[in-house]
Amino acid sequence: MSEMEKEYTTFSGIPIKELYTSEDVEDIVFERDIGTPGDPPFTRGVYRTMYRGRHPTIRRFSGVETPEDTNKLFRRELELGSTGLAIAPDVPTSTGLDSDNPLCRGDVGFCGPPIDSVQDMEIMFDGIELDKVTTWTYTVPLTAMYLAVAEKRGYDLKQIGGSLAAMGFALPKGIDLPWSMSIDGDKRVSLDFAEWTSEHVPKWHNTSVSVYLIKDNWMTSIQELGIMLGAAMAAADAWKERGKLPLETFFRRISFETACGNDFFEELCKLRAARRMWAKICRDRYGITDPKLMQCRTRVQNHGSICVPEEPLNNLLRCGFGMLGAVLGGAQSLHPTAYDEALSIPSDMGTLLSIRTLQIIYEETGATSTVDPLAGSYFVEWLTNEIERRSWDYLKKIEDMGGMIKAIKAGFFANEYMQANHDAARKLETGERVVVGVNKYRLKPEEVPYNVPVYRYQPTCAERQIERVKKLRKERDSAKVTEALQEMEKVCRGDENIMPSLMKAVKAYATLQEVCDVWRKVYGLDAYAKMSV
Amino acid sequence: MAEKKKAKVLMAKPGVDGHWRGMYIVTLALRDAGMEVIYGGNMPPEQIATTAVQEDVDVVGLSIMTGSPIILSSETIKELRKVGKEDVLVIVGGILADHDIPDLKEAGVGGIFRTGTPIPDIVEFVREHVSDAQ
Repeated sequence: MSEMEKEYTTFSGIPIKELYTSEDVEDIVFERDIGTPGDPPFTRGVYRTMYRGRHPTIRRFSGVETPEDTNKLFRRELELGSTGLAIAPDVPTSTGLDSDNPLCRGDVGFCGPPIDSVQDMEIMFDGIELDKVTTWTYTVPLTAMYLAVAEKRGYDLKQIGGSLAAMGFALPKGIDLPWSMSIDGDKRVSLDFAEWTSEHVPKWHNTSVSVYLIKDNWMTSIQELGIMLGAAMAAADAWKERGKLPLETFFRRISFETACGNDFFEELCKLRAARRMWAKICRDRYGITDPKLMQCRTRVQNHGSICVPEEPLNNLLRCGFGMLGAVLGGAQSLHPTAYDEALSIPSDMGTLLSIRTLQIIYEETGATSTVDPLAGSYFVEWLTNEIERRSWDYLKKIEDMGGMIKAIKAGFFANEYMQANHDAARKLETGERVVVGVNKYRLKPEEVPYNVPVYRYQPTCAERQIERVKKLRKERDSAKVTEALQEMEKVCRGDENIMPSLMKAVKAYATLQEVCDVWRKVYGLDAYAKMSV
Repeated sequence: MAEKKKAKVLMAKPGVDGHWRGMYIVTLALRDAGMEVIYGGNMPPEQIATTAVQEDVDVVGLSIMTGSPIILSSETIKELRKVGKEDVLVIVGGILADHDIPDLKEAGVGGIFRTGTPIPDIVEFVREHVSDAQ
């Protein structure tokens, strides 16, 4: 096929013309659709001065096999210039299982630290000033442990900031989570957490909606925005339905997490479209009038599935371009995926280069010197509009099914996930999606002129952790733990906020699985958290 | 060519990791190639072994991403031997480092497929090995 006949599309399949001119943007009303940064609809950014005020946070989702080594890693990252932390624990911890559970053998400490109790959290944050750094703490029980450590060290919780992957009940599961609690239970825990932190930990971004896994499973930017906004709406609706706190409180602390792939222009236009859509949703659907409550603040990470093991240093370029796109798109917090993540969790070299990627963008490229430098480009404004238009259509499809929860229960997203992965595998095989060094310009392994260091797991770390949790069970005040867990269960069955009893249980050194088991017992397991073929 | 018995495969993920994508894609490819595939999802090694017996499979495919390939593969092979399924072909796919490869072979893994392996290569390997055994 000649270059003239070839069909050009974005990653999401949006057809692209050879040339864009003023005719493609003639419907745009500048004040209404683009406007000024810091003002609705925030197309040009959520803050007036954007990166002149502050560079986006460098926050890597990271962790290694023990709490001790993760502490060293966190300190090292901060020394190198990271400005935020994010806990990437092992899979048993993210699943809410303890290290000594026989189901977890082979998984303990393998891709991050095991966190069985407050004890491990204390070790991980030893020597780190908790009022100087913000941390992404992943789940509600891990956040409770983090806050317990802060209290124990004498901090006022009002000074502690961070975020977590919240409102999971409204999100389609991107990985199998057979031990997660039911959607109703997750909803109760998420909303109680958000309400409690609004009062007690006011700097916490307690309603952070993460759609990282959507793109990571090769869905489009359109699906990603539709799902992200659909989930945020489901969470806002649930908050409103409860009616315990004003709706404004919900919108004050909401933030978002997206993933970025390789399509440079689509990714930056996606962020611009997301801000405009969220501002419209806040205003038109929820009647929000304060512009500060309509800001779509976004964290962006390169999705891991763009990294391949062939010629791994190519991933450094892939992730670097993606991050430049996210900066030009106006993101607030960034994580360049390490170039070696298709081989292992990041090596020291992977971590260093990940941080350096952002520092070079911020300090050397000039990309942060002026706000939204690509605004007004015929192509950029046209593509922003096109992504928005298509995303409204997808969101409407979700709404027509009765909203996110109903669509999840109907199996709609399970099918979307499978279809997207299936298509991605096919496109890679046919060459429809080019991956340099994989299905085009491929070298034989012996022709690649370099090797990279790979992180190596020490299997003995699991034995040490299992000993530690067993010792904890023996040494702690077990009557106090039992009492706290019973109180948690009683509260979960009633109407009171679950957080005070959860805080009490974790402070008594109840383990992660013990508190999660209370929820599993009271609320049941999620019937929609597992794929089938 | 003489008609051969359809290969029967159990695809499973030992441990608690829920990254199902690789297992899913390989399941579909083997199924498309005419094999009978049981998609087990997350299963502890003991359950993989009992399922392999009950379903009388020729091949057990393990998908491993965030867990220890060595521990999870050798535990599964140990359980398969306990229930008399030592003849089954065990293949492993996922994020595997160079240093894992000799240990996996030593543990008795018959086919090792690292991230980036073209899917048809996996199908071909299974087809050849199952017909060899018959």
